[in-house]
This record gives sequence, C-alpha cells and structure tokens, in this order.
Amino acid sequence: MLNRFVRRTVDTLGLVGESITDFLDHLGGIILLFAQAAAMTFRRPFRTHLFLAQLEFIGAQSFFIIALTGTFTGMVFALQGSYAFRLFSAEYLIGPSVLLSLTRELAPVMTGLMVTARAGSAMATEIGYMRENEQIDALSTMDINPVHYLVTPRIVASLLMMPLLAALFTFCGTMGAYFVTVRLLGVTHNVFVGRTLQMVDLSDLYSGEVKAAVFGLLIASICSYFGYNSSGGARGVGLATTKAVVVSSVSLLILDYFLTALMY
Amino acid sequence: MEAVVEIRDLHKSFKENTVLRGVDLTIGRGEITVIMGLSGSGKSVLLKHLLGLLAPDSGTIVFEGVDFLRARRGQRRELLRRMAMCFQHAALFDSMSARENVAFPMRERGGFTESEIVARVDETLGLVGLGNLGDQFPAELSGGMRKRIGLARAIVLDPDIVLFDEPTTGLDPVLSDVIVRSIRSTREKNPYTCVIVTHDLKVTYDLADHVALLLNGRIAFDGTAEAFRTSKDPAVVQFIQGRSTDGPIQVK
Repeated sequence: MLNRFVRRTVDTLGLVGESITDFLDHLGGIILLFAQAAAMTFRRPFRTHLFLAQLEFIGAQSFFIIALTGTFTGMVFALQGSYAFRLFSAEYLIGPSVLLSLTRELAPVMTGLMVTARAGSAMATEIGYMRENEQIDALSTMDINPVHYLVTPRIVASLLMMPLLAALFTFCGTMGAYFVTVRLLGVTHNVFVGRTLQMVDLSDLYSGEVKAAVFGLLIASICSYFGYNSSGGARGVGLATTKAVVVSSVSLLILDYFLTALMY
Repeated sequence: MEAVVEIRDLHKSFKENTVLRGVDLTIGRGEITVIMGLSGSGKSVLLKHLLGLLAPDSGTIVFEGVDFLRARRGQRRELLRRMAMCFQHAALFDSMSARENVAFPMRERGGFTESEIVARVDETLGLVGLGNLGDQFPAELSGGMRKRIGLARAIVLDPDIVLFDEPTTGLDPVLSDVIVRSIRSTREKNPYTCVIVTHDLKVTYDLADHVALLLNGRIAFDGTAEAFRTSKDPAVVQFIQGRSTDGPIQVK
C-alpha cells in the first residue's frame, strides 16, 4: 500500500518535472531564436523582397479581416454597453467605454489573435514544411543562415505591421460603435464625440500600440520557433502548427496582463 | 591519391540510438566515392557531418589538412563554400521556379551580373539535359526532373566537392541512368570530387572509383569498385546478393 503510494507520488513528480523541463526548454529556445534573429536584423545582405513579401502577407492581406472583426467588435460592445448604461441613463458613456476598451485592450489582443490564426499558423506550417523537406538544410549548405533568411524578415514585418493593424482595428471599431450608438440608439453625434474626446486621451492609444508591437514580436518568434523545430513528417508539421497557435495565443493573453499591470 | 577529406574515428548517437561507432574513411580528390549500406545504417548522418549540419560526439574530419570541426568560423565557411549537396528529395524551394532555384546560389553569393546568371543557369540546365525547361515550379516537375534541378543548383557555383544523398532512390532504372549520365556530364568541365550515398548497386558499378560499405556504424569494406565487386568478404557478398539471412548482416 505504502509502496504503491510512494511509486505514484514519484511518477506524478516525474511528470511534473518533465513538463517543467519541457516548458523551460521551449522558452529558452524561443528566446534564443528571437535573439539570433534580432541580432541579424541589420546584417547584410538585406533581402528586401523577402521583407516586403512578409509585410504584404502579415499586414496587407490581414487588412480586410481586421477591418471586419474590428467593426463588429465595436458594434457589439456599443450594443452591450447600451443595455448596461441605459439602466443609469448614462448612454453618453457608451462612446468612451468602447473607445477605452478598444485602444487599451481589444485592438491589440484581438488583432494579435487574428494575426496568430491567419499569419502565425502559416509561418509555422511553411517553416515546418521547409524543415521536413530539407530546404532549411539546403540553405545552410549554401552558406545562408536560415534564421537570417526565414525568421528575421517575419519578426521585423510582424513588429511593424501589428501596431498598424491594431490602429485599423481601433478605427473600424470606433466607426462600428459610432454607427450603433448614434444611428441606432439615438445618442447625438456631439455627445458621442465630445464625451469620447474628454475621457480618452492619446496615452491610451499609445499603450495599445506598444502592446501590439510587443505581441508582434511574440507571435512571429513563437510561430517561427515551432515551425523551425518541427520533426516527424506531416504529423509533425501539423503538431507544430497547433502548438504555435495555442502557445502564441495563450502567452499573448498572459503577457497582456503583465503589460497592463506595468502600464497603468 | 591525394586525400581531400579524412574522417577519423567518428562517433554519433541520438539519445540511446548509436548510429556511427568509429567511422574511418578517406575521400580522394577528383574521385567518385560511393558510400553504401543498409537503409537506416547512418549513411545520410555521415554525409550531414561532412556539411557541418550535425556535430559528432567524438572523432575528427580533416579537410585538406584543416580540422573542420575545430576550425575558426571564417575558415569553416570558406571550406563549406567549396562544397555542395544534392538532397534525396532535391529540397528545391517551392516558392521559386526551377530556373530561379538554380540561379539562387549565384544571387545569394553575389558578384554576378544578371546576364552572367542567365547564361550560367542556361548552361547548367543544358548539362543536366533540361536546357529547354520553362518557368515551371517544383510541384509541377517529375521526381527525376526535380533531382536534376537539384544537381544543377548544386553545381552552378563550380564546387570542389559535391555530396549526393540517394540520388536515384524512387526512380525507375531508366531515369536512374539519366541521373548517372547527368553526374558524368556535369563532371566533364569541372571534375569535382563526388561523395555518393546510395544502396543502388547499378549507380555504384556505373560511377564509383572507390566504395565504402557502412555496416553497424563502422566501415566494413573500403576499396576500389572492382575490389568491391569481386570481394569474398561475407558481408559484402551478402549485401550484393541482397540476402536478409545466411550472412553476417543482421536485419533488426
């Protein structure tokens, strides 16, 4: 009886230990890959075409989906807010409350999640497929640093495009909230704009943009890492993509808490 | 024979799986060395050590008198720049056309004008019998064509050593012969040193100057192609005859 208890305890501790080593292993790997890629940002040759292709893929091709999700997020928040604020006859607070949520939290977080799902998963799959297909080894044999070639453009493009996409999300969300509040709920234009300008200032916008930039680094580093280290054929690439999306989304939300605690 | 690469007592394990158990092999300049062995015997692992893609647990690789594994970074890069690799599945970049794949090492190395690149790519594609190739992407090409494009990409910068990982695996005998001819024709102008990893006996008999048989992580036979063919060594005989029993080679 006692033996069984001891054995089970040891097994459980072993599993916990394994998970912790796994976690630290991945964390170290992600930080190392990011550091390597970042250190090579200004190293020649500058492969402008690869960088522009990533800007287009992460940024330009995400415009529509970010505009769409931004607009509807703003609309639904205005609508939900109206139910609550109407109880206190405080409809004038709908505009500021939606704008504050958008700039500080919703825009960077929702944009981060959308970019993870759209571009991050593709990063992990593409790099993972290149690893499986020996294309990464082929780069090395041609004296080309694969991290410089594959990861650096993705990280820099993600860092630059995330704040832009978050700003687009905020803009479209504001338009959506304005439409619902002013056109559908009957709050006047002057009240919506006046109160919003009174309660929301530029620092709210900046903090959201800083968050978006940090999330950009996080998404590209995590998704590239899982692709770069994938193994085990098609199943391995699939698993790498799943891990990339899950780890990226979860760490984004955890990091968001710490960034918020630091900023406000 | 002048040695270009000397491998001494090379050991490599992946966790509990020991793959190389003290490999000794000398590769002669301008020769075609064929490394044979069972599937999964560590032939490709040995090749990856030569390219610096894997680091051994112990042992040395001496490249023209320079200890490759302990060389300074710059020196090692210089040595690597003189080598090229043909991968088993060609490892072409899917996002580029076949011509762009061949031009890729020239563009990355730099120092060539666009007209030089076009002329060199045309010439190299001609050598592998694909001179009329359009701008197809790798996904649109057959396995044999992809391997030949891979060969063209490897030799476009006139390397001193080209390593081949299973150049004919998965091809029919006729296409295998096309690959053999492509290797021959590309060596006419630049007689590069060849290291071919394969278990295809026909390729070995057609091309090899020197044969090494890798068994259980060690070189079990090392000699000329003729000596390999006429060897009385039970392991070599069993390998050539393709018997899974009645011999020293044990299949797990």
